[in-house]
Amino acid sequence: MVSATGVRALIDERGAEFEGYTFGFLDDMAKREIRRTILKAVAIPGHQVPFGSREMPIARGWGTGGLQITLACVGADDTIKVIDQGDDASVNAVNLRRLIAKTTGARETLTTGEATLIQTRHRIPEERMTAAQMLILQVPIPEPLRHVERSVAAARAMHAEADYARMWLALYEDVVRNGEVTAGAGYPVMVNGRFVMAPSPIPRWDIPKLNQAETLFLFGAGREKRIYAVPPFTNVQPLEFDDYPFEIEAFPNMSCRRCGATDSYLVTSPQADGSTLSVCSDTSYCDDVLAGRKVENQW
Amino acid sequence: MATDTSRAPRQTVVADQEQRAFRALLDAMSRPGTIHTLPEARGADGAWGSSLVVMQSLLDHEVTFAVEADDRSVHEQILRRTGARSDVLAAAGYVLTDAAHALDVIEMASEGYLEEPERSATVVVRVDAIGSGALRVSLSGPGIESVQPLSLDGLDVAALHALIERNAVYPTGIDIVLVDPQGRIACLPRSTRIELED
Repeated sequence: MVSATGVRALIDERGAEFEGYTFGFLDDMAKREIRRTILKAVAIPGHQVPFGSREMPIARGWGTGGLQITLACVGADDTIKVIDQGDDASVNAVNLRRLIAKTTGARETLTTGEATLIQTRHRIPEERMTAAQMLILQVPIPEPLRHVERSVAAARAMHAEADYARMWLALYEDVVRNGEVTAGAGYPVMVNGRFVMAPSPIPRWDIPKLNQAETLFLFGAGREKRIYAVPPFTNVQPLEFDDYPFEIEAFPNMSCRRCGATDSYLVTSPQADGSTLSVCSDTSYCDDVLAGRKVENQW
Repeated sequence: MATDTSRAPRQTVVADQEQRAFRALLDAMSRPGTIHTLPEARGADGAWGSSLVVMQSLLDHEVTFAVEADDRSVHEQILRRTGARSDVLAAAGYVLTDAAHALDVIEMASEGYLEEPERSATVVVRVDAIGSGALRVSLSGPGIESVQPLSLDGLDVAALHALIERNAVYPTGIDIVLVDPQGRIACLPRSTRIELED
């Protein structure tokens, strides 16, 4: 048995052994394999490329895909930002950021404009990202056809033949049953007119940002062992019907309780008195607005 | 921020070169036709130095390669530096060629399968110069806002015609990394549409 203080002492002591780790935690062969996969993914926008997802010091499903991409890309002169649902301060985001910083020496930031690499779970920052930046999205389920076709092999054949009839049928049935396409987070998109892609569970609000952006988007699914990409200036269109066009979330007559922004994606929580509290999902954007800094948020 | 990075591991010199080369490749592949610079080649100067930087950053014993060039010593160097396995041209995952053999390589290299288009060759072509030269092309497609011009020296126009033909049936096709001896690179992934200028 190790007492609680003993564990703390052990961690403190072992902390000194970080020097024994490889730069960026992953060994050089793992990085090389991930890099090869990333380059193929970029060459075939929207196509899921399998890779040998490694054991990481966090559990699969907690961002290991994104983390492996980040660690394969990052250099000591990068500035990194990690967000979880827009929030830099969530436990998971903090732990990932610390791991990256401790194993690479890369500078950390909470400010979108300062980062060269941003790893994110389920949001794209409000501030428009530039060509000098890269967004790395954590992906739980990379296969957009999963809910219409359970067989991986069959889904792969559907992608190969660009046969998305069942996807369209599922969207149509949604419209028939519910009067609209109900998909909220992770709305399916068509990339470069060829591959239907799961954009990861970002809100509809973020979907238009993927289209013809200046920034490279890399998607990593660690548990499902897939990497895919949307290069800059690539057509990314949400699947929609002419008479049921895609719409982003609307926040009528609402603003952020903290910074007052009316042009950002808001998260709403019910309060004890029956009212609701809405705040910016993107904490960096909220801080900027609060501090009166000018931010280009029109993607 | 409070994270103590004073004990962060350093990148070894070789790993540092590979990481910088990869970032240059990633930029180049994401923005076809734009010119990027490789880190300085170490221990391999001369005409093949920068080509070897590219090969070394991507290859290890998990992949196969082929070399099509009159100078056979470069094949030996790749074997020794990467441990990658040598294979025939039609099956190799990574192919390094000089401009003289580019046409043959583009016609023969693996283009992958519809279900696995990523199982195709990445072809590294050593040309005389990138960013200047008589061969001028206009590029469009993913990664390019409207049209991206690119000038090349040393590549035969027939090789480009062959590439256009090879990459006509997307998503199968081959991805090209152009390298010149000055350490400049530019990429022509299969998703790029190429038009020759007069």
